[in-house]
Amino acid sequence: MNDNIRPLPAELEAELRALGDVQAPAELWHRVSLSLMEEVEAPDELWERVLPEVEAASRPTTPIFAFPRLAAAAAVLFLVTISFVASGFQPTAMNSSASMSSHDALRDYYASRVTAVSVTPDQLSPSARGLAASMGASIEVVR
Amino acid sequence: MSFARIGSVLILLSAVVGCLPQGSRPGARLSYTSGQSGNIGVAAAALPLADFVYPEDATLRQDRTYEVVDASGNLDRYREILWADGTGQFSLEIAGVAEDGLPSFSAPDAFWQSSYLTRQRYLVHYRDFRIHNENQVRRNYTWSELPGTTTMAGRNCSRYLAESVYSLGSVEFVMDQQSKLILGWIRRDGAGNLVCQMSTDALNETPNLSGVVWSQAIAPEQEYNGPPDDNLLGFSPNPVIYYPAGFSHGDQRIILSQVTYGSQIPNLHLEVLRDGLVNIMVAQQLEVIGGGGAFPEIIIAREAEIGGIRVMEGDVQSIRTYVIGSLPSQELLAVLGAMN
Repeated sequence: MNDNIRPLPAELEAELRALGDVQAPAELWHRVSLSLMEEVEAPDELWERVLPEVEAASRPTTPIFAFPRLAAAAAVLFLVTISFVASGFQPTAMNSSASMSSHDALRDYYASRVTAVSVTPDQLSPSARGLAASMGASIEVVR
Repeated sequence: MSFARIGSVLILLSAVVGCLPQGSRPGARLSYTSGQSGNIGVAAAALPLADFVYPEDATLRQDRTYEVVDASGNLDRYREILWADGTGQFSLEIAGVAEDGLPSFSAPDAFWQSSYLTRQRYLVHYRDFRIHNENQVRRNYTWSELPGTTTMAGRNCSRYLAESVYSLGSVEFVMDQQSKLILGWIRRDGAGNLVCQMSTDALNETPNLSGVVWSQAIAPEQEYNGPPDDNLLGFSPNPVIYYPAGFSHGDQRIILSQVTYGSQIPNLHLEVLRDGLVNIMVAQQLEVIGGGGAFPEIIIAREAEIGGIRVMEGDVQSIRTYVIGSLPSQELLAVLGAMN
């Protein structure tokens, strides 16, 4: 055991403790600490043993815009977009809910500019009755 | 697995999914084969729509029944005879009337005969359903072939259902499997309530057409070509600004009603908004009585609901404006309100 181990940075320590139920061997604390100081690397056998648990429970500690991840994400977004376009993607009530919400707001705004009075069909003008009848409404048309 | 590797897998998956026909995709509904149970369909974009033949385009005598919910909620039924010569000429006569849910038909009186004489062209063009624009239908509807075979007028028929992706209702078509002729349709609103329907009672595809008086426009019509035509109207029509989801503008026409009826009924500017299947009629006319307000911010409109067909009538900048269709009131009010 190396006695020159320095304490981990508080932030890293907190993150490691946040791993919760993952039981890391005491040796790992030392190895990780040394690894951060680039003084020594943890043996492969140790990493292989704990990596599945760490990956499952940990948050990313590498920079979020690390190149491989960014490239993969960008490529996925690009190809998903291309595949949707190529497949004749069409807006539906479900996948365009945002635009439909905007459309509904516009509709309600314009509708609010009208004060509508409900009338019986015979209180409509002859022209309105005639047009409604032309659309198939059951209504007497008297000119 | 690294994020880069996960990304690579996703790339492959998305590329594969993008290349598949829609019907093959996980979660997509597959086209049905006769005899299967359940309503199985696909997004209308995935498959070619059915290749319909419409009665008014065929050569036939079609005895049919048109049913529509009236203002009281009763079903009014009208027996009609459609004659068509295959070249675009047609005639729509009324043969029986059974209003207010009455079970038996009575012979149409002079009023009804006159009413059909004047309306027949509009009924066929604006009331009867047909696919006006396949691309619009693909965008705005899901398209299903309903299971099984049904019989109408002695013919084996398939049924197709177009359902609005915007919850604005549906149209179901009944098609003769052999001739592709449309023998019936059902229009339902967004809540699934019946608005109107047509069904064929008897069909003769080799009719004797001698003596048939083909329909004529009761008033001359012409395309509206913008401001140069405004002198025929006496006003400049207000543009339609708001379109219900999936709808777009249609042709604009002028109906020269003054030629037929005199100055009592001013000429009419008519625009039909369409979503590929369903029509909304927007008409504008110089007011006959009263001057209206001077550009009022609020439009006072009369609203009548006649079964599932709704009528809005209001004055927009001193122009009497009518908005009529089988969409929810809020949609038609918005069309009207946006014109101010």
